[in-house]
Amino acid sequence: MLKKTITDLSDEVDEERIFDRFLSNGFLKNSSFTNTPVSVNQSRIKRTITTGNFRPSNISSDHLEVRIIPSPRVWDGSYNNNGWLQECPEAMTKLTWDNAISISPRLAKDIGYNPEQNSFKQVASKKAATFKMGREVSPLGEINIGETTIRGPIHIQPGLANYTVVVPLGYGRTKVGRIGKGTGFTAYPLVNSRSSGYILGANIHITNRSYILANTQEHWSMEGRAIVREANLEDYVKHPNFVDKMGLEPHSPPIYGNDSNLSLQKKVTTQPRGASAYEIPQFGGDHQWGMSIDLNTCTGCSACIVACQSENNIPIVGKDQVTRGREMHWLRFDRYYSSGDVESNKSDIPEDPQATIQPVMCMHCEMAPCEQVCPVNATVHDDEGLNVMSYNRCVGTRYCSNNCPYKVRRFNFFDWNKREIGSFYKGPIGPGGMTELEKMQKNPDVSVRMRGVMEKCTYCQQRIQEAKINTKVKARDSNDIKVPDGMIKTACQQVCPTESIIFGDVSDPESKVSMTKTSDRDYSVLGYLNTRPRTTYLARLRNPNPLMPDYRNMPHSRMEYEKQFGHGSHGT
Amino acid sequence: MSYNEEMNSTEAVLLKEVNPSDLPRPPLVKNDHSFHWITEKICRIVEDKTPLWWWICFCVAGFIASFTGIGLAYLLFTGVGVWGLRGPVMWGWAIVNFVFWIGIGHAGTLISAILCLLKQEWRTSINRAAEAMTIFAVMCAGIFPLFHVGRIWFAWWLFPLPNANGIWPNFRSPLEWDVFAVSTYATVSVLFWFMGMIPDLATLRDRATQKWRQIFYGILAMGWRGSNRHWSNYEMAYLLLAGLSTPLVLSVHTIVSFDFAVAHLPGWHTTILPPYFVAGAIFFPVSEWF
Repeated sequence: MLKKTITDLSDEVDEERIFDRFLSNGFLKNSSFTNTPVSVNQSRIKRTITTGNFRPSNISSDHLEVRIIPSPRVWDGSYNNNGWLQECPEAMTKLTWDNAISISPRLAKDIGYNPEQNSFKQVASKKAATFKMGREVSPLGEINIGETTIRGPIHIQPGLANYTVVVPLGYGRTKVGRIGKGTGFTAYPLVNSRSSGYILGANIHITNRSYILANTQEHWSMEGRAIVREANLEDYVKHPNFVDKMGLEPHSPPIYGNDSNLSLQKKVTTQPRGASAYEIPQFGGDHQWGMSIDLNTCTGCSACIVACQSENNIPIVGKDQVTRGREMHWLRFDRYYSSGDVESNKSDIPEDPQATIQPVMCMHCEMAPCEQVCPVNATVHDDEGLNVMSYNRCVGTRYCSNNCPYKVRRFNFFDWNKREIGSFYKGPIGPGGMTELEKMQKNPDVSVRMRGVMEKCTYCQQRIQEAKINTKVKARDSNDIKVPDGMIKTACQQVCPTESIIFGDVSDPESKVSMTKTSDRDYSVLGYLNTRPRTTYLARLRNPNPLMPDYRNMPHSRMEYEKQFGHGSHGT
Repeated sequence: MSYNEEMNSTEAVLLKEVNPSDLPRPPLVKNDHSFHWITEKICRIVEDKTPLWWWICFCVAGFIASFTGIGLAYLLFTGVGVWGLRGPVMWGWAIVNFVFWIGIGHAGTLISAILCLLKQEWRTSINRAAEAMTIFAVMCAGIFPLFHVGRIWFAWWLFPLPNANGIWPNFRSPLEWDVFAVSTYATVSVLFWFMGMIPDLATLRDRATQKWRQIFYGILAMGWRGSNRHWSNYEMAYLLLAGLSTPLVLSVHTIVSFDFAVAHLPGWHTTILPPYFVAGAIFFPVSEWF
């Protein structure tokens, strides 16, 4: 059949020759599509631009615009059976395993979906959809356009245009493998030759049935804390040290002596402080590993999540376990909304917030709180500043995870690798064991963890070791065993399209990561806890157009911070 | 008013003499029963045939207790995920139960040891039961932290046992302090309970008619002959153990609270927790017994 298709496409006669040549060349000459001439009505475009009338006619709560988009996770459905993609939370909605009809907070009010009951009152007007026991219980909605009706769970998406509804495709497949079975709803009935991505004139209403969505982040607010630090460009130019003025660092114990003049961030990231009962660790290794993450260039594409999953043999746990908050991603994205408004209207979901995202993984704190509380010494420091986790020693008290201020430790509640999704609770009587194919999928340089042990980001320890061994082999009798800068790329760094993640030796002042950390935008998250994290962040900058109506002279999160916790003395 | 006048007026208010009212302590055993009668009464419970109603109650209790075994077996073979635990707080009812049972245990110690130190003779009617309650409560308390760990078959790593790898437990961990606090508490409680029983075990040995009873109680009575020296040593040892277990009540629950107070978590990281836990532990005996 293949042969016939190929030979039919060509005008030559000798079928065998055509096919052989096709195989040899790898392509078929003259088989491309024919060009179609397109005419553009230039006067009409000109007219539209000059009059400035872009507003589509009469969009309202019963005459909606429906945007049909390919799902950010599974595209048009091609990847519906891919567990890694299914479990990777969408950057904005934080949904996994399902698609949902995204509607604006205004429309939610109009159609009577009021999540105020049973949900958290979140300060600074950040209120999620209805969360019960950490599960997003959302009502099923119905969209009607003419004769067509689709049904799906409703997710309130702050920042969405008031009367636009977003419907992702790619779900509700009837013929699909084990993973994609029963996920989401289909939006394809809306798609026809006339709808090019959007349809006008729909109406939506909620039914009294509900649907549980596996949402990995139920809280929306930084509560005015300086977790993500951001500034407008003009502010940054005027006050390049703005990150030093934020957070609790100015309130942590003072440092005297020679180091008292260092910048606050320097103190937080490098200087031991406080009257600790324990010795300040001294690291004597040849390298000191560290990481820098640039929030300014991070786009939230989430490729790092999947790269990490693939590199480090991180299992998927299935929708049911995600709703129980047991997803295993070592690297997660935190998404925050801020409306800049802390005084009034705390119970409404903001209609026009600003969103900030931040990748979070193990910070490899030099004074790691997790290490102090592990009763069996299963998580300790090595001399190169890595917070290492020895799975063999872990008994699973989970105390480390309790004590981790960044909440980056993941626990194997079940034998994720050995049991099938859906039969975790059956234990040994359920189907078990990995198939040969599954075994081949695992990275041989990384251990596959069993149930009952804790795990977390290792800075891709296996890559570090490989590079060190290679360098030592190359060094032979010379003593030059320093791994050259840039030789090690962590999995997340490798896939980052904007190179926001930089990893390297922080003891080498010439290394790229050291140079990055000298930026005045460099800050450590929760540095006031005296954790001295090796992973630091570069603050985010916004550059809004002052002529735009939504222009504010500070990012919303910054305004919230200043209103709640800022006070003149640290101000600029 | 001059100084003298003031003195005089004060004297007028004060009583010339204090006469404590005569409030005799009620006798602990009424109706002039002899020691022999009491011995008979108590020993009969052990020596006579166990009544049928006891067996019925025991079977019901044992049946209910067997749920624990089934539950723990399921937990053990499947994983701690069968409990509804999740982050960010990775502990749940297991640790709540642990703290609860330790508190129940403190009830027994407080009743027995503190009443002993305060010379409340009436404690003899309940102290044995109270001490037994302590021991079983500590056992229950031990089950929960033991089974809440992910890999229970390695839980013995929490004890400082010499091993080929030269790895010791982490003595900085509050959980490790717990291990010592609770095992000390359990040891002292068992000693206190057993010490108190020695003269009674000797009585049972002396009254025993069957051979195996004689041997069994004979070993447990540890050669007690009821001599003056025995009694004198016994009283002193008992007093010391009572004195030792009373501060343990404070220290054990303080250390249990360190699991939370020493941690980083907002809400846990607070100095109120140790006194709060101890006060809570004192409420247990109040609610249990009075």
